[in-house]
Amino acid sequence: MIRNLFYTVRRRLVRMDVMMLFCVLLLLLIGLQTIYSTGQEAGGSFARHWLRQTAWAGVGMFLFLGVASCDYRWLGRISWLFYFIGLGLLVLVLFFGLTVNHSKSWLPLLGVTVQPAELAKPATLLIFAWVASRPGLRPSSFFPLLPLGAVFGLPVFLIFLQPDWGTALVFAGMVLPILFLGGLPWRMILMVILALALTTPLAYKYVLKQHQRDRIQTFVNPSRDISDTGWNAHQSILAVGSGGLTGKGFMKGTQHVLGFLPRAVAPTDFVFSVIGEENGFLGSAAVVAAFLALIGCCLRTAWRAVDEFGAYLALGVAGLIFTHAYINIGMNIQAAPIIGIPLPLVSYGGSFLLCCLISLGLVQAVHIQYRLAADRTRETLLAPT
Amino acid sequence: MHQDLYSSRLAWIGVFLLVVFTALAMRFYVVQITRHDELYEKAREKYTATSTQLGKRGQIYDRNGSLLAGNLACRDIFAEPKLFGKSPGPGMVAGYLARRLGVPREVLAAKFAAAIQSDRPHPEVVVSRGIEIKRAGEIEADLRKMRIHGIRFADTTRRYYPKDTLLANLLGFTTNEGHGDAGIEKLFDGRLLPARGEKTFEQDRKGNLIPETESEISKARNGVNLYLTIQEPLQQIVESELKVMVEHHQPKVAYAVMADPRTGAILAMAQYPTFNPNDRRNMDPECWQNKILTHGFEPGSIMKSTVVAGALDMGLITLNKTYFCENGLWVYANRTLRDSGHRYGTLTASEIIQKSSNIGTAKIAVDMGKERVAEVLTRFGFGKPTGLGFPEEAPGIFRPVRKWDGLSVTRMPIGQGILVTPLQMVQAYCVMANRGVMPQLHILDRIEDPETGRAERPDYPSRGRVIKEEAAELITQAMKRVTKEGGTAPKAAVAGFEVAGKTGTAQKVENGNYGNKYVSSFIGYVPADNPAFVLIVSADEPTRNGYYGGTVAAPVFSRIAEKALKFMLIPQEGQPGATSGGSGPPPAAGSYYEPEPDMGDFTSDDAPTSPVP
Repeated sequence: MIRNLFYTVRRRLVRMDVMMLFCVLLLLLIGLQTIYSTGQEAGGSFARHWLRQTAWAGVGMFLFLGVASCDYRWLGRISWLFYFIGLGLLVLVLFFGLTVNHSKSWLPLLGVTVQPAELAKPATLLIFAWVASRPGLRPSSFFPLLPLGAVFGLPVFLIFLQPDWGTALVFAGMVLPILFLGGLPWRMILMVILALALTTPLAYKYVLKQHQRDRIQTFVNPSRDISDTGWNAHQSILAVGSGGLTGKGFMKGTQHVLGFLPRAVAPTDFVFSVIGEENGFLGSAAVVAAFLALIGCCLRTAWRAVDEFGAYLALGVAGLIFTHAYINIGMNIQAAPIIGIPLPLVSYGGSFLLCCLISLGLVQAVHIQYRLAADRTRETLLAPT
Repeated sequence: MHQDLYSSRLAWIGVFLLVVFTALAMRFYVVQITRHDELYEKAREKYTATSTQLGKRGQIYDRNGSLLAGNLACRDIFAEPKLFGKSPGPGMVAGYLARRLGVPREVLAAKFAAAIQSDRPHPEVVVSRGIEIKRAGEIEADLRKMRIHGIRFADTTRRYYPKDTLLANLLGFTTNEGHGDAGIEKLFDGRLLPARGEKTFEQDRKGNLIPETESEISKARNGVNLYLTIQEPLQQIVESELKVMVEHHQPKVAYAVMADPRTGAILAMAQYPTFNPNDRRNMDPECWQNKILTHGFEPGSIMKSTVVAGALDMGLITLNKTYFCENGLWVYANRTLRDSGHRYGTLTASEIIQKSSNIGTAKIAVDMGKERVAEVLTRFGFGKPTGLGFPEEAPGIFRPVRKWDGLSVTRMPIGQGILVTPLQMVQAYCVMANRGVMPQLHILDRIEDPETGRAERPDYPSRGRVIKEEAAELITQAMKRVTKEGGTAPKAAVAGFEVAGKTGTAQKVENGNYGNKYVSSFIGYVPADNPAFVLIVSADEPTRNGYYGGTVAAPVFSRIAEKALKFMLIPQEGQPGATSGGSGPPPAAGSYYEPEPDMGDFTSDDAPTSPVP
């Protein structure tokens, strides 16, 4: 029994997408190195951040391999289980959560604090992709959008309540490509874009809170206020810009070392500015290329997937990684508004690291199933008749 | 699975991704390569900072190293009202500070309100400067007890005058920012000012210095120390006697100046009214102006000696030449000249000085002619500043001879129609006391570099011969009689010494006529034949107990001279060690006594332990 399981797992894992695994490990190492660098200079509890991150990465890799070696179609059938666990945690955090930076998004659980919203991402993606791939629920017409909207809306609503708009936005980045790939008619897409264009000014005025409006203002006009809201944005562009072609060298970045880039954000939301400062344009370009490759791998898997469910999963993960990476990198160089979301695999933070590795594990599972199917086809073709 | 729809839509997504990531990479290129220099420079500005250190302002000492102006460690108090917090609130804080510091509460409250409204990142207001260390400590402790935040105490120094009013009019004072605003403080401000030192260092966001990143651009340097020619004990004597005169005669203004006729060094300079530079609350410009430099007055009879000395110098008269003094009433150029109640007959030139005959002096002047009179007055330095160095020093008013009217030649020699400063008068008498040579009056003895302790002593070359030595000797002989029986000022005599001097009782012009207000003066030198000092004592508008120079000023001269001579250890004439008139080299001013280290009641690190020789 156990031998069987071992052989099954091995048979599957050897068919992993090695290219994607390489990108994952590369980004993890860059992240650890940067967290080490900022932590040693900042001192105190920051100095041990890299050890904690390594531990999280270990747990994350275990889950990554575990998920990769599952048949994702089986995971899809029990996706409601993960989904409701996720929803339960999101409800719990509203009652017992810790408030950090205006948001009640941290839940103390079994000795560590986790962000339920991060753990809800793969769970929501899994059930959303599963529902969208059911026959008759393909999002190419209006009716299937209702159950899909419900599946998507529940966790997003709970996250709104924290409130954490950034994370809620990422959920959209995750499911929209699925709807697109699922065949959402162009006229509906245009209608949605039109509706957003009309409602955005109203939402800006009546729905957003002051600190959110400030952030958008700062993005539109970076030099508007460099003392308060724009401080981090201003410091991070100085950091990135002062890196030049080759950077100042490992642990030589002055912006975060001297505390101009606040110590709390240097290894998390603004980790990229540290990379830009210490490793220069070459380093930043390498990281951007790694993300492009990672997302490319996901898209390739989506294209090869043996069924719609697999394609949706891989594409959703691509959307998740893309949204995070673009906004996080962009806000360091004033190419995106300051939305406090971390850089996948690189930023310090355990919950999101687990979220990313589980999600990427799902993509690997899709990829492995494709390889298995391909091998089976070849065996069938080669088998003597 | 690979339906056309899927493929096309995935292609769409792929294109979108490529576009976005290309844009991102281009943005990186712009930020990190194109704008690198600009952004790097900005980042450097952020973390390199400059700190400035200020040395101490130079201190002012008397000639013997007694401290006259020093620096006192103190603290400035600043407030950042945004940090006060809700309780007790800005109003309460303003109230408390106003009570403790004597600042008007409304002013503080208004400043706080403005700072709270301000958009600047850390609006800070000055609450009060120069608070004594101990008091600042008490206030700080109270604030902590009351849990008031946002008050900052900064260590600094404040100008302090340990002798309060002593020499205040000459010393002047500084502004709150530490710049000289009047007097010596202003005159030598450039030398007294400390040099600012600059250092650059790298700092973190909170402004903390990063070790081993300092580099010094320039060094902070203390201002130089000044040693004046003033001698504090003499200044004390002069000021206390002047005060006695002021109390007795109640003049509007009074002053006394003592100078060494050989060197021109000012030994003492006192004025009433005066002020306390340590107490800045009520300072009337009337009180802090140095009138000895700026106040032109009609000197009256103290002028006579100069013209008579000129006549003697030109060989026009001898001391025994006689003039008929018209029994006290002489009409010249259709105007009457009187000898103020006296009816003198025939007087010798010597007696004219002794009795201060206006008619006699006028007749000598008429004999000289107005060109010669003008020349003599010019040579004695009237109409020009003495060159003591103060830009505000007045030249007086001495009209050129071509603008004189027919009367001038008889009036100027008796000190009318000419304005002089007390300092010019001292200068003129220094000529007579110094055997006819005019010394350069000066106030600065030496400048000391506080780092090396090396002193630099400026040279003050004399301003040349004014009258022949014989003429100076003769006029001295004549003036000796003033303080004797039959002279105008026997009260100026000093027991054991010969005093040469001259009284003056000048009527003041009111509405174009001479009225009944007077300037009463006595100026002279002692010992007459080997003077230790020239001293002028003058009271402007004495209102009580007489107004004659011989009554008001002469006794003060005598008392000051007696004490000063004792202090200077000048032996009385006819006693062992006495120097007889004119024989032997005159002793240098500094050798009259042994200077004593003066610790005063002001002790600090800066007090010199021994005077620099």
